[in-house]
Amino acid sequence: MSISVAIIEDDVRLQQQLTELVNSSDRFTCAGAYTSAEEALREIPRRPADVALMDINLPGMSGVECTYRLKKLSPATQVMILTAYTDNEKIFKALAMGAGGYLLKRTPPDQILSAIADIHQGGAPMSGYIARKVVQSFALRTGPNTPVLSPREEEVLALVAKGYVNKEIAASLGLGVETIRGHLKSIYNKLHVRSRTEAAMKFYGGKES
Amino acid sequence: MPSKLRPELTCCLPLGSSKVIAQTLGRMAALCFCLGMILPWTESAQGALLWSHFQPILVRTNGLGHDVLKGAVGVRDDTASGTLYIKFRVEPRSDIVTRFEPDRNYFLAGLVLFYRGVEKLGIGNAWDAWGYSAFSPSQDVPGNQPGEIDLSSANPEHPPAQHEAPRRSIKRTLVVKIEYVPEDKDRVTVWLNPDLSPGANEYLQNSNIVTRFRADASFDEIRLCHRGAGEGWIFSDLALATAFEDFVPIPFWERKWVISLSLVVLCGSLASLVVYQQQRRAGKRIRELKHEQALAEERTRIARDLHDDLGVRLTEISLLAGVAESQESTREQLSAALRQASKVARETSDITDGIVWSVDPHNDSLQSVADYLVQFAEQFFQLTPIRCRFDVPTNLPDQVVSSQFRHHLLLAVKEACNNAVRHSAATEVWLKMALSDGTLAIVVEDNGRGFDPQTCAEKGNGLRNLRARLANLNGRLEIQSAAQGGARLSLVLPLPVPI
Repeated sequence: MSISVAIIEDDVRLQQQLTELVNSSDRFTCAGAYTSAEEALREIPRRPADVALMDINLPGMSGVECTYRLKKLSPATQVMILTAYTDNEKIFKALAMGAGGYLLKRTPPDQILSAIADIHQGGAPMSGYIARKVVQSFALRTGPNTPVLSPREEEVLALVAKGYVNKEIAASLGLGVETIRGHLKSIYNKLHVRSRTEAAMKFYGGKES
Repeated sequence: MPSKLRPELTCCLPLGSSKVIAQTLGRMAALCFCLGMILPWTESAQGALLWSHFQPILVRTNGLGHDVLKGAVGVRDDTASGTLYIKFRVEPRSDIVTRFEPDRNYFLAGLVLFYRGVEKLGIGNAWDAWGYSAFSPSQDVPGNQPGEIDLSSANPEHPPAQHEAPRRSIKRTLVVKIEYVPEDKDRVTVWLNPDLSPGANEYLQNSNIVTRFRADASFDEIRLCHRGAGEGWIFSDLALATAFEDFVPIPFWERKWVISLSLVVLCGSLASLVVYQQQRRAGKRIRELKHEQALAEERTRIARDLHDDLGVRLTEISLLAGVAESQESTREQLSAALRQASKVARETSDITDGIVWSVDPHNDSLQSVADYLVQFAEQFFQLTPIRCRFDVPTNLPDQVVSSQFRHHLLLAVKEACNNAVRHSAATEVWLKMALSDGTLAIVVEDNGRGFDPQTCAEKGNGLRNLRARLANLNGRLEIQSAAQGGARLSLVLPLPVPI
C-alpha cells in the first residue's frame, strides 16, 4: 500500500512539482495539496495522510503552529518540514512541536522521496545540529513538572551532537542500534512535552485543550 | 569642558536651525565677554567721589588748622545750591579730660569749613561742647551751648542725654549732608557713625544718630583743626560726594567686577554649552555617517555577492538548459547537462542560504554562528564520503557578531571544508570551536593524507582565499600538517569588540 502524502506549500509552482514528484512513484500518493495552514487543518482530518510535507513559511498561520495543531488533530500523521533556507530557529521549533524531520527545498528529488519513506517508518533521525539545539533547549529551566533527560539519554545526545551516527553510538556504548533509536525517540518525546506545554501557553492562552 | 571644536565639522555639517541658534548664542557670549572685560575699568572703589583723601592725617595743636581741599572742589558761597556730602573719620588720641590744660587755649578738634578765612560750620568737639558736636555760630539750639549742637549718638556717654564724648582710640565716622539754600541758612544733617555697609543709604539709618539743623556752610577751604589740650586727632577717610550712596561700598552682587566675572563665566558656560552641543551633534552625525557608510558597504558587498556568486551560476544553469533543449545534443550530453544544472542550482541555493543567514540580524550572536557552522558542515559533508565530527560548545557567551564578520567567517569555513573534501582523501573531519580571551579559534582537522604547507601555499587559490578572508577579520590562518598524514587548519580570530 502506498504512502499517502499531504503537501502544504503556498508557492503554487513548487506545490505542483512536489505533487508530481510524489505521484511519480508508485510508493507514494498525494492525498491533497494545500496553500495554507488553515486549509490543511480543515482538510487533512477528512482526507488523512501518512506524511505531511509542510512549508515552514506560510501566509497566515505558520508551519510551526500548523505542525502543533496537526499533531493534535491527526497524531498519526508524520510532519516533514520543508524550508527554502536554513531557518534554524523555526526548524527546531517545528521539531519541538512534533515534526519528525526537515528537508531543505534544494534536496535532490530522490532524497526527498527516501526521506518521506524514512519518516513513515517512524525513524526519529537526529542530526548533530538538532542535537545541539536539543541540548540547549533542555539547558533552559522550565516548570517543575517538565521532564528531564536521563543520564543515558544525555550521553546519547552528546554523541549525536558530536556528529556520530546511531551505529557508531551503539558500538561505543555497547548497546544495540534499536536501543539508541529508542533513546532518541524518548528524547524527542520529552522535548515535545516541554515544548508543547509552552506552545499551549502561546497558542491557546494557558491550557492544553 | 570639551576641547576645541574641529572647524571642518562645524562648517560642513548641516545643522539647520540649531546652527543659527548656536551662532546667535555664540555672538551673545562674545558680547558678554567684551562687556565683562570693559566694565571693571569704569568703576572706582566706591562710587563717584568729588574728592577724597583716605590716608590718616594726625592733627595736633595747629591753631586755626590747615586746608586739605586745596581748591579741589569749587567754592560754595551764599549763592550756592545743590547738595554736598562730606565724610570723615576721627580717632582722638587722648580723652580731653585727661590732659586738660586751661591755660593754653580753648580746646577744639574737628573738621571746619572756612570761607574767606572765617570759620563757618565745624564738626568735632570743643571745650564747651558735651561731646561730638557741630559748631555753627549762627544758630542757637535750646539745651546746647550757644553756637554748638551736640550730635545724637547711638552710644551716649550719659543716657538719656544723647551726646557721645570723644574717647581715646575710639574711631568714629561722620557724614555731613549740606543742602545749600541760596541767600539763606543751609540745611545740615549729620550722621554720627552711620551704617555704611553695602546697600546702606541715608534713609535707612537709625534716627538716634541723626542730627538736623541749619547753618551757614559756605566754604572755600576744609580745614582739620586741633588746638588746646591733648595728643591730637587722627583724621582719615575724607571724602566729598553728591550722594550718600557714594560713600557706601557697592554691594557685592552689584560690583562691576562681580557682574563682569559673572558675565564672563556665564558667556563661558554658554559658549561651552554651544560647543558641547555642537560637538554632540557632530559626534552623533559622524556616528550616523559611519553607520550609513557601514550599511552602504554592506549593501555593496551583498550586491557584489549576488552578482558574482548567484548571477554567474544562474547564467550557467540557463546555458546548461540551452544544451539540454538543443536537438543536436546526444542523450549523454543531455543527461550530463541536467546533472550539472541540478548541481549548480543546489550551489546557488546554498549560497543564497549563506547570504540570507549572514544578513539576517536575528543571527548576530556567537551562539547562532556556532549552530549555523555545525549545520552547514553537517549538510556539506553529508554529500561526501567524509564523516563530520563536532567539538563545538553548545553554550556560548552572549556576544554580538556583525553581519560582515559572519559573512567572512562562513566563507572561510566553507573554504576550509572544501579544502578537506578536494585534497585530503580523509574519512573523518573535525570541526572544533573554542573561545578564550576574546579570541575565537575554529579548527578544521582531517585524518587525510596531509600536505606540505610550503609547497601548497602558492599552488592553490583555496588557502590564499582563506587567508584573505581571515585578513578581513584581522585574523590569521595556522596550518599544521605533515606529508605523512592529517591536516589541521586553525582559523584564529579576535572577536570584534561590541560597539
